[in-house]
Amino acid sequence: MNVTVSQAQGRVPVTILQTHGDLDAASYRALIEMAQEEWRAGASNLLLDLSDTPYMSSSGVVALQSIAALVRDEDPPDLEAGWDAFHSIARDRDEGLQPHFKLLNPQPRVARVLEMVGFTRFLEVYSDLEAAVASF
Amino acid sequence: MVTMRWQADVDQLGAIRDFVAEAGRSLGAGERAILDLQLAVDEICSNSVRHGYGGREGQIEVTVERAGQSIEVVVRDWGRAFDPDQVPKPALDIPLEERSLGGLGLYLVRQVMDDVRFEFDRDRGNSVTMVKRLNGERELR
Repeated sequence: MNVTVSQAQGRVPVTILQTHGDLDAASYRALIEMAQEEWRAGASNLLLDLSDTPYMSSSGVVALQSIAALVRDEDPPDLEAGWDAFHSIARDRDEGLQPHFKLLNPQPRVARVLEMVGFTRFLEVYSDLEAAVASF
Repeated sequence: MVTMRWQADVDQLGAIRDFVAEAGRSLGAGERAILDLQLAVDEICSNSVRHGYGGREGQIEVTVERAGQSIEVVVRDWGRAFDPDQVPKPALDIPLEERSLGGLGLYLVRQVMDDVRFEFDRDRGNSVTMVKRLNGERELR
């Protein structure tokens, strides 16, 4: 898998990360690292384009969760500890949908995984790029 | 029945998924069942690499066979014993900020498979047996 980055301008600047290839235990760290790099460079609104990712395992879900923490300006979760034990990330019961991290065009198979783990209740999913960019 | 072994390395996961798809098709599974089998085997193999072997070298063996109206897959490794009861269930209904990482892999396996059994034998190693029932003509050749 590799990740390409582009920029779009809506009401605010939006950084679009597009994954190309499967998002699994071999590749999820690359996505997190790319998101961290963009975040450090000043990106504050991230749109993840999953249209070219035919497959995602729970490792990909972990990557999404880690990026969601990143754009909330929280310390990224400890990925290694996360596999062994449950630990809290942050506390904010009032915040549901993530305002600074959204998804674009997950393929059906990936969408099904997101649905199974309940992520679609917390991450907005768009099928149209312009609408996605305008939503930030 | 088809069996294959790989080095316990996350870089082999793509090849393992391809093997499962090919074996499933040859045994009459439909595409939906194959997708589920790939996800389940991927999750168990990822777990084996990360926890069973914990970075040490080793092997993973995957066997796919037809058992009546089901496909049965056995993933075997010779790493540390895996106790599924020690894996906490993920909380899926709480906001993203409050979720902790992990626990989702095993949850997904149980979501997409009809039966999952874990065994540990000192000589034969860990095995995870997973059964996917095929749903009528749609799944049969």
